[in-house]
Amino acid sequence: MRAAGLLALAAPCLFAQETALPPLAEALAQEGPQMVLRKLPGERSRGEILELLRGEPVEFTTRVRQRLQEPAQQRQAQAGVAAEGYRELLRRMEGRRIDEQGGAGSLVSGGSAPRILSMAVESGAVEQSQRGALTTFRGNLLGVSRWLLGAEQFAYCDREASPCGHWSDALRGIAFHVSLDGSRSAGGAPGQMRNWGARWEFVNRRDPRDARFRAAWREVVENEELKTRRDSFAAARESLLGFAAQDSYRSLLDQLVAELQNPEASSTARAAEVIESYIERAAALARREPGWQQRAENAQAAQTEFAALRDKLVSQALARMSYAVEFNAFRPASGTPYSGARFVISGSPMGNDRVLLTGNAGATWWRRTGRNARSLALRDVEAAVQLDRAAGRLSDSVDLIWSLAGSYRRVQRAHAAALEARLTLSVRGTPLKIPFALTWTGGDGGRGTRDTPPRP
Amino acid sequence: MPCRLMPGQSANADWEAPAGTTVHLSVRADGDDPQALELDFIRYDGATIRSDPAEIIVASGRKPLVVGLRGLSGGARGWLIETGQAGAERRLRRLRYSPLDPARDYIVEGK
Repeated sequence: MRAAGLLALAAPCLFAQETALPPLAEALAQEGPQMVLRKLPGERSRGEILELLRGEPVEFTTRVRQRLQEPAQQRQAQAGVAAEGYRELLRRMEGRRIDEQGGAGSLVSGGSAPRILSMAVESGAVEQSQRGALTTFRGNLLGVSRWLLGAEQFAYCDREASPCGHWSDALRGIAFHVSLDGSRSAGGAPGQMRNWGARWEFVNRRDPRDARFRAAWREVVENEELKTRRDSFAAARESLLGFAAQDSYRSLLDQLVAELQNPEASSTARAAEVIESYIERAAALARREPGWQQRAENAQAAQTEFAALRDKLVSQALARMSYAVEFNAFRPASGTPYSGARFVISGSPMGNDRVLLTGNAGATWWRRTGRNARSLALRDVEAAVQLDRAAGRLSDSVDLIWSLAGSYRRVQRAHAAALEARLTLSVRGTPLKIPFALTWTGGDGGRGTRDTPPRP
Repeated sequence: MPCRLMPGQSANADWEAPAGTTVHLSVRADGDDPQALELDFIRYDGATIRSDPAEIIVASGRKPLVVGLRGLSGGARGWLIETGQAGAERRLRRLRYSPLDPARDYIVEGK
């Protein structure tokens, strides 16, 4: 029996980005507004022109609010208050996930890869082949490519005006990892790559044509908490609109319609100028409306909370089972390199995101090179299972996650088993997760095993 | 029962109708999938209505009408409609669903 201590620091989301509200001309260049602006000004109907504002009232309201603020506040508001609030909620949810894979030394492959990039540092590990500190980087192909391109990480995948595109669907399920050895093992220099691999999560149920998605959607619509949030959102939105019913604002809309129907406003750039001017005048009216800014903030907050809860519920309903396959290549400090493949199944028996059950099954193999031919030799087969449970709070800023894991490995003629109990401290509002683990390993001590493949 | 909401005669309202009139509102998705875009709620005169079609009684004066939408995916298109007797319906406004901003705002004036 061997007891191994495991201390890892995992930051599942190192590179969260801020995204500015686009210039108005850019917003008007999207397909919806362009359908109106491509028309001759005289052919644009009043309804169509007003829809230019209503198409994105959150964005529009944010633009009005920006003009009510001092220059320093305006710079902060450039991130777009409501949209940024939504992204912040997504980030917080990401930080509270319990299904992400951490370091390479874990007994069980997790159900999900990080959305962007993660780093985990482990000291000590379950496998005898690993000594010293191992640093593992995990990344999602979509998240990392978006990061490299400077694109928005938590963009909303609107199929028509989308910043996401069809490539997102293909890339989202593909992840990679690389582990570097931080010690001077076997005479090598620190930083040597010890293993690398790729992973494909091949179930995507966010297809509106998928019957399971539609069933999940129906279930979410009837959720009682969502109904409450929806009522708050509806009431807050209505309270904001008292301003829109006033004569002064209605005549302002009249002016806007007349200016956008004027032949001079034929280009998108000119239309943007007209709308910018309208926003300035709307802001001047809003300044005179007592409490408008507070109501706008309330309405945006209520809307953000409603949308975030709806999406969280849909994700939960869809994430009851997920499947992935992994390929790994290992280069141990001593012995012959080998490769492996693993099937990962993960789901919540409770139907929520607080309890997660994950199972793995896989095998590793050596590549043998003989005099005349190359062949594969089985190195080991393995199976593992892990239960994760969100276990409340340690304090206002630290959440707890308990995990229990077990694995069995048949290495040539020998047996190896391991059990692990892990407590992870997840620091709220940050991507930091600090796991503490106690691991027991047993078996027949590796008798009859070797670090090199048998001769062909 | 004919459709009762009439386009506003001035900029003061999107639609107008005699105060006390009963109006039924719904959403009709483009294409052959009615679930692609649906009416989620109507907020009018201090009350949230979740039935579809939503029944409102036009109140006196200018009142905001908030139309909440739900769609299976962003970009879904459809129409806000008023329904009448014997399946009669009239298109009121073109709709395009944004999951991040799932509502539209209008002003109804009761005369």
